[in-house]
Amino acid sequence: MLITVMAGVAGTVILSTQQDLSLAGQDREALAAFYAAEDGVAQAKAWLAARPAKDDGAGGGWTAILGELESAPEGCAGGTRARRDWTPLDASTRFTFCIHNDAASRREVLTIEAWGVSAAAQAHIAVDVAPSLATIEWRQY
Amino acid sequence: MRTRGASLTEVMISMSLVLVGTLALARVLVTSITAGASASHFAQAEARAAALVEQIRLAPAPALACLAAHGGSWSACGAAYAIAEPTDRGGQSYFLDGASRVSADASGRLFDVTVAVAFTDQRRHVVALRTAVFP
Repeated sequence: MLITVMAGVAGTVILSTQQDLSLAGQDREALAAFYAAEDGVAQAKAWLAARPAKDDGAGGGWTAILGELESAPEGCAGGTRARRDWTPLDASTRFTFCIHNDAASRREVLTIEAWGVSAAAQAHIAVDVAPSLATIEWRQY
Repeated sequence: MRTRGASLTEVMISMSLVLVGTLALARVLVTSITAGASASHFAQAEARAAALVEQIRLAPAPALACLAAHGGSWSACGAAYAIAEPTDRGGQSYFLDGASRVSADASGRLFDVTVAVAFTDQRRHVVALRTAVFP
């Protein structure tokens, strides 16, 4: 009876500890994936900033860039799927991004989609940006 | 004549079994407490690393340039760029690992950021977060 109780207590303690360690690990992986996706957003903004977009008032300044995005790796394929190769940050963490026109919006904005992946988690961030590169909306999936 | 009850040998065998079980349980408990503390330390280190990454993500371009120039001594660029609480309530210390760095790309506008927070309990552990910032 005593041995059974001891085995039960030991089993419960081991399971509880395993759960603690697992949760801490999952948190770390999720955070690594999120910041990898943020890396993609920053890279996309840098890519946009290197383009001569001007706020011309008509097309939001994006017309030339949208033309380039139709064939550039930084453009999205099939709507919101990255055409660009994954960029590794370390052995298990990587990111990619793509930029597309926000067809549903009349606010003359572009949408940056970025994905981050770590060993056990993934993150997807969508950011709407105005021609000034000011972030006007931010979503995380 | 047969006596009633347990013999001394039987009692000693029973007590030995209980002792072995108790020792095994004690060992499991010690291991569990150590592992639980380690999980807590990892969570604390992760929280400190994330807080520092957020400070850097909010930093203006001159501050980022300062961080890139100062390598491992970020506190020279402002108190916001040091680990806010280097010691937790349990007395565990956390410090910036040498792998922490901020570097600018060729354009000077995009910064690659790695924040690595280290702690030592049974052995040395490092929690590293990497991202990029376009201020």
